[in-house]
Amino acid sequence: MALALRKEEGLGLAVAIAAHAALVAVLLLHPHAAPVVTPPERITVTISDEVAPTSTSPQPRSEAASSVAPELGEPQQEQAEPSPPEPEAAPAPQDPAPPKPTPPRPTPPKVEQPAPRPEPRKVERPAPRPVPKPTAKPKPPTPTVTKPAPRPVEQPQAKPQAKPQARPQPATRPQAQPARPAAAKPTTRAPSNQPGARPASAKGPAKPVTKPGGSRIGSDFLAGVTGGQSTNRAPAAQPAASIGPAVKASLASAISRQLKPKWQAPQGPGAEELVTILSFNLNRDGSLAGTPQVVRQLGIDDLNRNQAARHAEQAVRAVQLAAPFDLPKEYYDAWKRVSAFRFDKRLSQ
Amino acid sequence: MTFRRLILAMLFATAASPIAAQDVPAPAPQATAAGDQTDDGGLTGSVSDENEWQDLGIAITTFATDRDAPTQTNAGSTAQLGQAISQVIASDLKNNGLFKPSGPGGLPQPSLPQVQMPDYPTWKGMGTDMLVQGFVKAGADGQLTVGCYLYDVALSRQLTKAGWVFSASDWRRAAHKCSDLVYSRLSGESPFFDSKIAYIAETGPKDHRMKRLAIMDSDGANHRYLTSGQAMALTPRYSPDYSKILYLSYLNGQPSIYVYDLATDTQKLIARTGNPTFAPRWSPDGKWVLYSMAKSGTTDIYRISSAGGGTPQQLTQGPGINIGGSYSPDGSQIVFESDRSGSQQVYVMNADGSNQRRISFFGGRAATPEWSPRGDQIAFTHIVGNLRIAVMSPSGGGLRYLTDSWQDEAPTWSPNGRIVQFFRTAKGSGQASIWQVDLTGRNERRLPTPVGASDPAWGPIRP
Repeated sequence: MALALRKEEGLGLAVAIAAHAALVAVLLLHPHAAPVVTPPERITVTISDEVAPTSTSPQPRSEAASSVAPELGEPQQEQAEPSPPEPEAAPAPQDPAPPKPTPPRPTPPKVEQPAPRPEPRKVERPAPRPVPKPTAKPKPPTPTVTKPAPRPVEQPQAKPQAKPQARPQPATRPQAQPARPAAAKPTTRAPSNQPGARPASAKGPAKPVTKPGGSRIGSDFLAGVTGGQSTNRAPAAQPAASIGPAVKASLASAISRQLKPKWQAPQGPGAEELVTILSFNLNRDGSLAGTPQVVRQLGIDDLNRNQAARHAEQAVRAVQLAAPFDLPKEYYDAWKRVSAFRFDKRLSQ
Repeated sequence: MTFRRLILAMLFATAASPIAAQDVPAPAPQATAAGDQTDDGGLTGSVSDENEWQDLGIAITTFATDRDAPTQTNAGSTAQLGQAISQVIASDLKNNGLFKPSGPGGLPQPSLPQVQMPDYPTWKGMGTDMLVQGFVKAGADGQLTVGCYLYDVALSRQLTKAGWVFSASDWRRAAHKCSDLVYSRLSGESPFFDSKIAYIAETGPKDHRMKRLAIMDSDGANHRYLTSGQAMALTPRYSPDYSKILYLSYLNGQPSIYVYDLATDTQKLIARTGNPTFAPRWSPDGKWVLYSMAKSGTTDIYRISSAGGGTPQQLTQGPGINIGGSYSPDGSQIVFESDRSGSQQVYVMNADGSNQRRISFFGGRAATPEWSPRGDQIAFTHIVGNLRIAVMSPSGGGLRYLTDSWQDEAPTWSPNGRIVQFFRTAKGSGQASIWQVDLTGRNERRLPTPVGASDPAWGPIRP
């Protein structure tokens, strides 16, 4: 039968067979993988009612824990190191005190620059003004004052230790420096340092006696302010990006605690259904600014309608009686306005 | 000159009223704005008063006087009167249940200037919350001028003040007015102390009891019998202007409805039909009298002019017993009791007798409904085993029991609609006494009456 095929038929057959073989080969070699639908990975979803792109930590920069004195001492040494060797640095400033400290400290210009910036921000203007002046002036006295006290103690021990510590500090300095001016101005320390620094030449000996630690701050308040004052004034100088719900909740409960002894719901039929919501503003000292306003009242029906006004009055009275509120000052921004405080009566059931 | 002043005053009043009117709703728009977004960045929180209801402490000092002048009262001179008035106030407020009054005994006695300028530090030191002070001055013509001041000691602020001129014999009314002032300022409710109560005084044994019509002040003082007791008197009701008392008398065994005129001490017959008649009531405007009359097997409610005469108008047409109508304060509706459904229940109809409908569906029986002067509640006697005083809304919802005793019945409202008075019959002896309870049900007390008492009827507040 094969002979019966004509030439072109045989050729066609061969081509057909070859094409089929090729097709089978292609199919075998490239098995088309079935599109496997893989279920997406399970995602754990947490529902949060407070999502903020900003930090709610009260202290985003946690340098405060460092002790004040060592930090203060080291930057001095460190600053002194680059120009002269450490041991030399100690005597060197003593003799030519005015010239040497000024050149090694490029920091003062830095300080002076940030200093004026916060001035408008901060309330205490008289304080910052002297800052730049004393920064230049105290330099001579400060080394004289401080060096005798700390160095004999620290130098033998601190030299090896101080060096490694001092090196990483430059990293912290840029952070710390902006904080210094802001913190230094409003703080009580700043004024104490400044007046102390001016007459330092005369009062110099008194400082180390009264404040062994404080004198170090005074001597180098540029670097030393960061650690010491961040604990006190950190929120003011560098407040948290926002005050978190936890802080707000505890502030609200602090207000609630102070209102409770003063809040007495009026008696009457249906009076327990009444709810008064007040808003009020507070001054920085916790006293009441203006009169509390009734935002709205809930639960008023025909039975207790006559008591609603009295209920609101009692709520206002409770706020007025509780008035100077004892609340943490650093969170004043959070509690300066109380926009909706709810007064109700819940019978313990 | 005075006319010009009057015009000026009126102009001022009219000019001030829109301002005052604007002041009130002003917070409202803020409220809605702030209500929609309660958090405008400020702090939010809540405080609750979880203590038991506390009575408000009030110190009441002896009313001061400018000079110790004799007065034509049983209390004596103005100085003694000052003490008596503050005692009456203390007693009023104490019996109200909302307050914890102290004084006048044991408190410093203010001088006349101090009445208007109390020594706040001293009172704060004594832990006083509220302070009531006042004065009594005797006028030349036997009139008394009484001033009353209420202070919030904690806030060092005067809350309210008022003054009245009364004839000396009405000195207790001055004290009640001062109690009313304090009560309404500190509770938000309308006053009620300066009002009177009519009731039936009961004496004698259970099977042969003498029932006399009597009246007294809201605190039980100035008690007076009006009838001798020869004819049994029942169900008194004060007219809205206190000039008359409507009551049912069984003179010679025949039920008759009389109006007793208090000014002239005379009586006028309103209805004597020969049939049993019951439960006479005034309309709020005093022009009409409702009563019930049994005739040919059914009892229906009729309306007749209070002036006497005229043809009674029948408001209900059976079936069964329809009895005891009580008008709503606006006079448009009448609440009454009917057993047309098989047992006593409370029904409401329009004043002309149309649109009768049952409102009580609480189980048991409901009797003697009485519409509150405020219109928001209906008090009635709920009979499920015991007889208890209860209130409900005029639509028949919100049932609340005010008392829980063996037999409490016949509620009557205080003028401000906040207190319900009723009479309680003791189990066994059958002794009846008048009690009152406020709408919370918490403050219940017995009214002092010289003898047994039933069928109280509280009149409106006196002008």
